[in-house]
Amino acid sequence: MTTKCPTIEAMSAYADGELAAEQRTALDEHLASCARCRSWLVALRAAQQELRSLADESLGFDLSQVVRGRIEALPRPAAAGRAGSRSGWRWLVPAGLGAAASVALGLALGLVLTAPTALPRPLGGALEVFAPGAPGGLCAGAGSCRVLYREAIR
Amino acid sequence: MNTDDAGLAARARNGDSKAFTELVSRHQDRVFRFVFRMIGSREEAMDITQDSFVKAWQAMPRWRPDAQFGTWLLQIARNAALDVLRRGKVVAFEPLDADLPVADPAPTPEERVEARSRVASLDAALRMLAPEHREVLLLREVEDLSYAEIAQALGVAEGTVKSRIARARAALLAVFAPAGGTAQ
Repeated sequence: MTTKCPTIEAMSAYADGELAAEQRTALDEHLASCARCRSWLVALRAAQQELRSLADESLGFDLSQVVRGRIEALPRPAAAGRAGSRSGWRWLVPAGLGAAASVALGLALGLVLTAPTALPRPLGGALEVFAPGAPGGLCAGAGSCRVLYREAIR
Repeated sequence: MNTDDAGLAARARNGDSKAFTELVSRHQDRVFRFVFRMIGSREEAMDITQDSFVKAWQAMPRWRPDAQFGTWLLQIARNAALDVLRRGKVVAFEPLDADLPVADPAPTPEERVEARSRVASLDAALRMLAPEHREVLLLREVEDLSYAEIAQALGVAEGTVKSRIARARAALLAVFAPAGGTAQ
């Protein structure tokens, strides 16, 4: 009498020798009486044989020196053991401290910008080097300065 | 000096590029072969293979000795290949050639062994499979990885590998008639 056919998963595990002894024996008994399952297994083994022939494929040249050239041109990866760690000193600063500093800076800026006349005026003449004038009036190099100078003294 | 994969990888992790290039020589064919069969383009596979090694070098500080270097490397290459497939850069799903022997109920041996070579037929059948089936078959049948190694390369549980291999085999036998026997 033919027992119920096993699942594909059981057949596949059987082909890989991954079944427990008891299951294997049961499947052996089933195979003895089921031509359909036997033919599936024969086909699988034949396909496996053909798939193995694909292992002959090769790149056809030595890639190692090409890769070496590329990796030696790269910045060196972080040393082993530090991977994934945050670099530098910044990880020592608690996250809350950064947030507090941002709030404090915002408050300070708000106070300064809204104060009517609290700020001292800039020193007169300190910014006069940036006197208004067309961009062409700026010195663009020794040659152009000489031209402007000659025109000025004419 | 330790010249097995783990020894070389440990040296590479500490910045030894020479040790790393030795690993490249050892694993380049396997990575190329896997990527090529995944995406179906030799040229693109060459680029991905090269890029995978460069990525691996940059990721070396994260490599741990409890991971087999070859499997870890395949994981990097596999992710790159899947990226290419997702972007649709390579035509991976070519239609089956009309001459390709498929799971015909009664093909004669003469019909099976004809025009196209067996490898080309198998290749075309592989490309008809979903990438998750194709990759698991390549890792198991071509690269001879254990269930545990495949689980590591794919980042899934061993039980998932077992069922995925079974489904992949059934899918392959539905579209490919091996020379030595046909599933009924």
